[in-house]
Amino acid sequence: MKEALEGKQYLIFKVSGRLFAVSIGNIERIIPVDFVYKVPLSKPYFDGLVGMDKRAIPVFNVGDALGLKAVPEVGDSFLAVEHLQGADIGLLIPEVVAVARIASREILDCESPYPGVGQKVLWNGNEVNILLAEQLVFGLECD
Amino acid sequence: MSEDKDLILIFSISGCKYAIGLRDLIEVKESSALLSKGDDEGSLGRIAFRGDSIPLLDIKKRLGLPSDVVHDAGSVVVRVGEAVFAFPVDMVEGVMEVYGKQMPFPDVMLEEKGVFPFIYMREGKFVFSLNLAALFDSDYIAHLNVHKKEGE
Repeated sequence: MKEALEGKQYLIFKVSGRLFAVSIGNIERIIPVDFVYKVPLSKPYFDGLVGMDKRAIPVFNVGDALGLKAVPEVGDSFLAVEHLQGADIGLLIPEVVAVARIASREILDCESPYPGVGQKVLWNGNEVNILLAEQLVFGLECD
Repeated sequence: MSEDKDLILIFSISGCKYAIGLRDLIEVKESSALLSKGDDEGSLGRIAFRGDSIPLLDIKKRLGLPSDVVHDAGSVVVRVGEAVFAFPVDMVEGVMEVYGKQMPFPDVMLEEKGVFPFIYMREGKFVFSLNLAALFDSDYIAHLNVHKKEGE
C-alpha cells in the first residue's frame, strides 16, 4: 500500500522531443556511452556492444525501436542497463531528463503509436509515455 | 592451469577484430589471388593451396558486411571438421595467448546464436571469437569441394 501511495521512481528521457519513462526499479546502472563495438549479424535495433565491469552489454537503440529517428551522437548518449529475460540489455537513451517518483493513480491506460507503450502520465504539465522495456525489446505481451 | 591456456589468431575485417583458435588454423596466405571465380554468392572462387585448390569463402557477405575483398590483403586457411577452406581478411594482427574463462558473448542480440561464442580482451579492446563451424555450413563447404572434384 505504501508503494501505491508513494508510487515508483521512473527514469524520464526525451526522444525526438517526446517524453518517455521507464521504471528505475529494474535499472542496474546508467552510464555515458563513449564507444559502441559494432557487431555483425545483430537483431534489428541492436547497435552493438559496450564494455561494463568486465561484461559485454548489448546496446538497444530505443529511438529506432520506437520509430523515432533521433539517432543521437554516441558521445552524448546514455545507456540504462537493465536485466531483461535473463540478459543484460543497455537501453540507448539520447537525452536523460529526470528521475521522478510517479504515483500509480496518476498513470492512465492509453492507445499509443509507440511499441511497448500502453500507459501515460502527466508530469510537470507534459505528457510522458510509460515504456515497458521488456515489451519494446522482446515484443512481449506484458501485464 | 596449462589446460586453460589457448592460442588465438587475431585479424580484422571491416574495422572489427576477430579471432580463431590456432587449432583451426592451417596457414595465413599473403595473397588471395583467384584461380577461378565462384559460381554462387557465398564463394569468391578458388585459390591455390599446397598444390591443390580450395574454396575462398566471402566472409564479409556471410557477416552481412559490404563485400569489398582486396585480393592481395591475405587470407586465412582453416580446417573445420573435414573441410579445408580459406577466407580473406583485411589484416592479420597476430597471435595471442589467452588464459582461463573468457567473457561470454551476449547471444540475445544475435540473429544467429553461437557465431561469436566469446569475447577476448586485447589492449582493452574487444576481440570477437569466431565459431567457423556455426558461420559456414558444413554441407555447403562439402558441396564446394564436390563441385571442384567434378570440375577437375
